[in-house]
Amino acid sequence: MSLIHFQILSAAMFSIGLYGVLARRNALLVLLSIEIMLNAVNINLVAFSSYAESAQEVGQIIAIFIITVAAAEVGLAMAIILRLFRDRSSVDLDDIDLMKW
Amino acid sequence: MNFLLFLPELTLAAVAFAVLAIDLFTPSGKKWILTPTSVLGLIIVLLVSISYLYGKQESLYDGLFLIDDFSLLFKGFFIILGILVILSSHDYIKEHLKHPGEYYGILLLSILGMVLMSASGELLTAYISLELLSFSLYVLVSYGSNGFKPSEAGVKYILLGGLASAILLFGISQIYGVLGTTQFRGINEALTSSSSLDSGVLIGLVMIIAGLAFKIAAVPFHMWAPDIYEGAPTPITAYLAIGSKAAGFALIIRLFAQALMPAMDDWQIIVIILSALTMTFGNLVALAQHNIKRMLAYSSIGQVGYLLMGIATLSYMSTNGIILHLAGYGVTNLAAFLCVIIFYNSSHKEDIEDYSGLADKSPFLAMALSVSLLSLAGLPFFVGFTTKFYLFTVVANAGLLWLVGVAITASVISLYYYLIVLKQMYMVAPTNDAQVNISVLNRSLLWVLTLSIVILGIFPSPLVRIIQSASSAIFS
Amino acid sequence: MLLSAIIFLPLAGAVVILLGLNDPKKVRLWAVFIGFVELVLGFLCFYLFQTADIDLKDGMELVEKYEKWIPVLNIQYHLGVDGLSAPLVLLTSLLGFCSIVASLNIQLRIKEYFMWLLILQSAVMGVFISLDFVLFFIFWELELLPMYFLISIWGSGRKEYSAMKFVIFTLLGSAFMLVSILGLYFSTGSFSIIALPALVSEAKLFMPAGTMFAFLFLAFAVKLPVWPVHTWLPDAHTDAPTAVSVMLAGVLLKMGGYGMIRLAIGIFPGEAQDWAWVIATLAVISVLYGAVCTVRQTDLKKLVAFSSVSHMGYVLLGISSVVGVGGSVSSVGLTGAAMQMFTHGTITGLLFLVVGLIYDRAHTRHIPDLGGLASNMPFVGVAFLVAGLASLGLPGTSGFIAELLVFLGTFEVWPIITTLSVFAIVLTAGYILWMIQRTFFGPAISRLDEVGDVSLVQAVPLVILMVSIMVVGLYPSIISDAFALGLEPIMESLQTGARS
Repeated sequence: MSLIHFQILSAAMFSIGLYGVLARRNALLVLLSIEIMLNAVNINLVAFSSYAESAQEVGQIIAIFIITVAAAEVGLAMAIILRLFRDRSSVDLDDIDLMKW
Repeated sequence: MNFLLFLPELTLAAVAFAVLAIDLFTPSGKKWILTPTSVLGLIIVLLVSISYLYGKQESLYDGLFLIDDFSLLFKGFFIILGILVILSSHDYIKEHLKHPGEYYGILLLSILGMVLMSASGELLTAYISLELLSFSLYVLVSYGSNGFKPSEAGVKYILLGGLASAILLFGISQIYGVLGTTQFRGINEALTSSSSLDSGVLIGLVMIIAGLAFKIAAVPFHMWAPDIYEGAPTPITAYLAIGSKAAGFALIIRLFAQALMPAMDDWQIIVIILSALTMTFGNLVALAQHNIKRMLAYSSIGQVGYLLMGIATLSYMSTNGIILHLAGYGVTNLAAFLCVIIFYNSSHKEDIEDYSGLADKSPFLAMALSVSLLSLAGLPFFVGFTTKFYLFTVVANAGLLWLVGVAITASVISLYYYLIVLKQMYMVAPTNDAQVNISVLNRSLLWVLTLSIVILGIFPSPLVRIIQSASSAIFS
Repeated sequence: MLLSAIIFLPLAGAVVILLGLNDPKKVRLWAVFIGFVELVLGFLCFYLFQTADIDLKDGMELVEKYEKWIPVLNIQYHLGVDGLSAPLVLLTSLLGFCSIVASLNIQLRIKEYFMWLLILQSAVMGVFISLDFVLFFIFWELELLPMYFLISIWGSGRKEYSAMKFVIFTLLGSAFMLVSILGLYFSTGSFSIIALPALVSEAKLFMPAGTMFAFLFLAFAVKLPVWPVHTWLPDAHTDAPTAVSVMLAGVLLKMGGYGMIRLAIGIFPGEAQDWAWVIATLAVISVLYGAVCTVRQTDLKKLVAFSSVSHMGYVLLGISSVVGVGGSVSSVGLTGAAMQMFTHGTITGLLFLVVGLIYDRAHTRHIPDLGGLASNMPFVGVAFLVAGLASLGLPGTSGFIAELLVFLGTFEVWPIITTLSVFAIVLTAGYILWMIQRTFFGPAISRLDEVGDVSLVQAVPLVILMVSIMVVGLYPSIISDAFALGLEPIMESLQTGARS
């Protein structure tokens, strides 16, 4: 196992997450895809901090911060999506089309 | 380490929580006291910052926070903006929202986020303060009560915002992984010492630019902006259009000037392309808008394009240009949005067509809106011209005259859609009989803003001097 | 302080109207008062210029300078008049007063109307007096706004379309000018109109000088207007209210000619000489095309509007003589161009006033519907005759002097082109005489029996303009000497590049 394996894993997860954001039509699934992307970042950071020579331990600290922020983000997003569901009885992104240019 | 340097931020956080707490103990008839409380708190923070931090050049927590004239200037900018937004929300809140305490508290927290953004000297700190700002804005955007639009805007904003954050974070992790540090100073040293740019750094750079471009709504990362501007409560739209953009640019200036400057050859072309795209696209699409908030949204996307020209030629002079234009654009846009708020408060309408015959109903409101729109278009005697001219001159002087040519063409186009609004107000007979009432508070605010548009337009020199000391702190 | 007062007096007057005056009667009186004071100041400025000892170095008089306006970019508040601008300031104050007096019968939204009219006058004065390129540009742009409102609110016909067309054409022109201004600043670090010619000849230019000259030329050509960018002019003139047409034809077009002589040629004399053949070609096309179009018009106002295209072509023709012949450049052509600007201002102003008066009374501008007006409105008839004859260049009127100078100056340089242009005079004589004959003479039409002559107030602007046409016609050197003096620095810079 070397750094490059972790990087590939991280890049793959990031891409899967990105695909999910672009392809999914359900707001909750889009939110989950974003979480996958954030976790890809975490893997990247932790791997860098333990493998790369120049890196200090900062990477692990950043990862902890990101986990915290992501948790807050999910909570907030769920609340807003819930409000949307109450308003429109749907969380399908194709249905929210009141505003278009 | 002198923790007292952190006093303004601590005070600001305390004021925010105090407002949240006061809301709990105030009977529903007396909620109005929250407005003066928040404003008073902000004024105190402003006075503390100016009297205590002026002229200091220090760093806190080993370079995580930088105390200099640049962060002080932006602190002042954000706090004054906060005061103005809170004051202009007063009537709107009274009519449309049930929980003013939460609104003001979260607004104050977002100001804290912006203040921290302009002072951060490290990527993680920048990210956390950016998220503090964004989270507050997600809530504020979905606060409105006009039908289904606010929740729709909120969902769009938080999902796209989360995506942008993820991309930004991945970029940060790349930079950290290759260069081994997240401090601006350290990044600068690492980039200077290496002869060529590592591809990992390049990926990180591109992703950071993409993430930040999203936050300032640069084309092609702008698609959230018009929807969110339209759906959000109008005072928040103004706040988004000015505050979050200014904070984004404060971070970008500091990051690019203090950390990424050695790699300028690599990112310059990206920024130039973003800038050219943003100003053409923003101004062209604005031509087709019917809702005045969407029109202003696209117009402010266009303004971002002008500001990005300054980033593309980043230097001491162009930093002056960017900050000056941000200030001028802030005053002008705030005046424009205040007019929209006033009109909405009394008519509950926000389409350009509804402004027909406004000159008959309220000559003052029509004049103020005309002044601010013409200033946005960059007509002389208004601040929009002066700051735009300064910015264009600086960019042309750095050798990007062709880009300035594009910008000038874009601003010629922009005058057309501003004139359409003017035409509705002055030349078309009223199509509805909605009356326009302006409260004393809003009237005096609007006077202050309109006069500053004119005065700053004719005498920008004092403002320029303040800005010069700020940007010399960045390029010292 | 005189020049600042000239610029800002109308602006201050407009602010007073905006804030303080509501009674239509007071607004009118106040506007006339401001216009009159401005007229006095204009004469005073011209008089002081004429009697001053001219400093031959740059010829600027009554200079006002505040260097620290925007010091970071070296932008200065710098005003002054020389021989080129002093007569134009006089012209602006004359026509400004005339157009205010001619608008006293406006009934719609009086307050706003006079406000915009005064702001317009401020902007035009600013363009002629500014010696800093940025200041010049500010006033140049400022003029758009009042014009847009004046045409689109108080105009007739397709007024909104015309107003927008006017704004877009001018803005596109000024976009090119702005690029050129920034290019000049990047090359020389200066915005000073006086210093730029010398600086440009020494500096290493960032952009080819030919391009910058072309951009400046284009900006001013739109305003002048020159074929093929003249199409906004007939629309704007026809749809604007009378007084605004007077200002538009009388002074706004002159901003184009002034800019062309002072800036495009003053800063880039060499490039102007290189491209003189293009200028001459455009000039002859404008002159002939304008004249041919004019002949076809049946609407009085459109007729006068198209004749402006033709007459402003003479200005361009005079300018094209800068290339010189036989190793020297004579100042006759340029002086003629400048004279043509002044005389066209008074003549066309008078024509538009008369057309406006006819329309007010007869409610039509369609020439076949008019006839025999001379018996009912003899005074207007006289004014129309004077303006018409001056317009076709009858000796003794100012039109004759200007056209004569233009042809004298250009004939040696561009013999064929000048000969072609002279044919336009025949066409001009044709359409002017035909217009006068069809409207004022011939059998009276019974429908027009009720039409009366002008009132005393309405006669004032007519008299002022007739007098100035005659005075300049009989004693041209009051104006032409000033112009010749103002052109001296430009002539000097032109000599080195003269065609052998």
